[in-house]
Amino acid sequence: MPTFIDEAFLQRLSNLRFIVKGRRKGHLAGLHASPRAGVSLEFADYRAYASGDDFRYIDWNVFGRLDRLLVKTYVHEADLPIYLLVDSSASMEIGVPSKAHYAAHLVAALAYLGLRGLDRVGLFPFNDQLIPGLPARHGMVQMGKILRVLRDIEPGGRTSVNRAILEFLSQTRESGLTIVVSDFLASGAEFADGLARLLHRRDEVILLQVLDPEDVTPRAAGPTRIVDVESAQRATLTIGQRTLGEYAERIRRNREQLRGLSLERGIPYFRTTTDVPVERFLHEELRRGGILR
Amino acid sequence: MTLLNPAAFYLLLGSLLILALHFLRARERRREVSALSLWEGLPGDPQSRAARIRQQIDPLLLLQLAILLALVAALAQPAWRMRTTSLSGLAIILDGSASMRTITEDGSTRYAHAVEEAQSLLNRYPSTSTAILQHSARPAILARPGLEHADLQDVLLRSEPTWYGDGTTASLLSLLGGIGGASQFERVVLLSDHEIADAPDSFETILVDGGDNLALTAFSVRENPEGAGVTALVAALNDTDAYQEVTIRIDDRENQTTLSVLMAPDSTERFVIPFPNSRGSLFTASLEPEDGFAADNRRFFSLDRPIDVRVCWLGSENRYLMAALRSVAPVTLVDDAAAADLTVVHGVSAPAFLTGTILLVHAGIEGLLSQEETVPTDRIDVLEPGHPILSGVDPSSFRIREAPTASLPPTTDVVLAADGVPLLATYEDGTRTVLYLAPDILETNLPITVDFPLLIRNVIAGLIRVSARLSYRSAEVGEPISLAGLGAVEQLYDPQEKPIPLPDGLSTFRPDEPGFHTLVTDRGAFAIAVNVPAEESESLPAPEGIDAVDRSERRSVRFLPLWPAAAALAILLLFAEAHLHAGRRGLTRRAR
Repeated sequence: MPTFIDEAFLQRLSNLRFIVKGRRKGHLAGLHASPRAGVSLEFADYRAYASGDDFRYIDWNVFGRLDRLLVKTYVHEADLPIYLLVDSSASMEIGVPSKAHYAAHLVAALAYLGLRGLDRVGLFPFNDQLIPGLPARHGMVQMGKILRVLRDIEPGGRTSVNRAILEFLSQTRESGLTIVVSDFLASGAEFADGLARLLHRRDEVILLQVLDPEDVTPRAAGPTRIVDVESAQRATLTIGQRTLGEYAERIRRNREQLRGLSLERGIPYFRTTTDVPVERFLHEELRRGGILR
Repeated sequence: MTLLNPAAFYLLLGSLLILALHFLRARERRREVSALSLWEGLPGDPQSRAARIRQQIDPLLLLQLAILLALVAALAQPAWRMRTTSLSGLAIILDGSASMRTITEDGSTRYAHAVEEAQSLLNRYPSTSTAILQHSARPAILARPGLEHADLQDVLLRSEPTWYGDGTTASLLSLLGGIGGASQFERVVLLSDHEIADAPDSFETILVDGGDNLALTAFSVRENPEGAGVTALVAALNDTDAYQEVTIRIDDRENQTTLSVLMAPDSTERFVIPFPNSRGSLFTASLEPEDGFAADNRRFFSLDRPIDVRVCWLGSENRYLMAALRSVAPVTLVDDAAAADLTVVHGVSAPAFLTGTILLVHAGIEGLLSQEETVPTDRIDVLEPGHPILSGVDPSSFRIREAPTASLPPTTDVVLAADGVPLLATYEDGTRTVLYLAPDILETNLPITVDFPLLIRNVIAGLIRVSARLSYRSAEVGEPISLAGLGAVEQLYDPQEKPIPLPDGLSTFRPDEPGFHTLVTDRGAFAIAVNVPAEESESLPAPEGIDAVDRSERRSVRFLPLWPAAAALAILLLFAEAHLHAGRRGLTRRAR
């Protein structure tokens, strides 16, 4: 196992599992309810007996009272494909620890929870396009692969969440739980289209915004040459209290925009900074937000 | 607080490099951000002049300068001066050599300055057991440890420099050994006008004055071969940094001759000065102008005054032998052997009662040494090649046809022999000093060899030691001078013609001051020219950068080193700088 995530950390997550709204279709039996009736302990409905039905599911009590052959149907517990889209653009390299590092921890934890819940988990790193990742698979072998990919990711390039989502949709047919991890510092309008298409495919989408504390509250630094790590564009600015006040307003607007987008589309949106421990974020924010239980 | 290595502050020039690097860097700080769109169009903050200056004063720069300052401070070896008032032992060694008599610019002498320094030391350590020594060719203990402070001060004030030359370190250590050894003293302080090259490391030298000097370092006079006057040979030293116009004056107490020359700086020059009208035997050379050390501006020389060797001749005459004797020294024949310097016995057997200094040539002494059968001789064997009698003599040039065998006393020292027959031998007992030359001179080629007069000269020198007079020509203060060979000593006078008390039986004399001393014996009066040791004229200047007083001060205090604290501060600042630097790197672009 890569050293950047230890076993004890994963052990502490063992009491968590994903909560998925609605019933999902799945190939194999999992721990999530599926709209397909099937074999499980949870009663779903009655239907008229048809030739070929298993006699064991005929409700003989109903037949005794009503003289009709009805068959009990049960909730089919299906597995859930969990798609983890993680931003690997250059902007994620900012900070100590870097946002990329933090995101890798977070994604590893989510993958672990998914695989422990007998779900299929896929990993899709991206910058302005998808970077070769891992299609959704079961089992702890997949966990090892995910960790290796996370370890080997070199942040770089510009960000295009929208384009990455479109490529992702073209590569995956099955809808599932799609978690997008990024700093989302671009305008929300940029990836609104991609989100709409995800939702159209009936994916459940979760947005996790990872920021560096300096992204949120930068310090005054006087005359500063500001360099965009993705585009290498520059601007010179004297950073004082007034500038910082304006910047704080822009960051607040960015957040409001994302929040508005998420409310509008019914997409859970969570924000964290790299100074918040991943474990705490999982236990407090995602649990409180109804993503984990 | 003081700095033991203030030169280290030159390293502060390195701050210029730091400042240059700082100002050569871009003024604006560089900050890498995730999205420039969040920053674009933001109104920048106006900056006041003070804020701009504050901005330029980078804490990193200040830290770097502080680190440099702390490092330089550590290298400068700061130390607290802790004046000590007590030692386990103090030895003060005053240089008492002649050069310490030099008069200094303030009208005092180097020795007086040394005494002042010594008094200062005494006052600094009033309760310390202190010994005071005087170092010269004849070192002396002026005060042994244990004397009271006042007594030590008194000893210092009463002490005077000598006219002796520099002593050896070995003699000084030996003297210190007599009062417990140098290890007994926590401080051994030598007060001198020059460094002692081979002094132990534990010795501290405080230099007093030193510097310029004009001197005569050598003076000799020789009679002109043709008999008309003399020629003086003089070596003069100009131990200054400037050309010096000097006059050398030669005085024989009746006449004078002078030579004016321009001497180059730091040079020693030799001059040959003819003095054709001189008829004297006592010469004084003087160098003008006179400087602070006047004693070495004069040197003295005493020409030999002829002295007769009184000879009592027994036996047949031999002109060759007599000629050889006369070639060595004027000879006066006397009849009484007891009054003679030398008794020559030729061809006979001397009576047994004969005592004193005896030269036996083909002769014997009854009851002591008898010649027997004459036998032919061939090859001559040198039994004692290094014997003084053979000095300058080549025995292989001797041809001896025959020689008598002899019955010699057992303690006889045979120098030359031929086929077992002793040819040349010496014998000495309590009453006689005998030199025995066995062959008849006429049966040898000795009279026609150049070695024969040399042999006779050696015999005379060995028997009656007239060469001692050579040391009278130009002796040095403290040099032992033999008084033997010039008759019975009656009186010795110093240069001021005051009698010098002489213990009975004294055969050597060490003059204490320069000038003409006079030895009076029953054979006449003999002048002894005594000079200041030449090395006293060549006092070494103080090494550059060492001030006598400073040095004294430095030795009188102890220093608590503070450089470790400065070094620790530098390391702390270095860590702080590294931390700040890393933090700033993280601010701009933090590595994953």
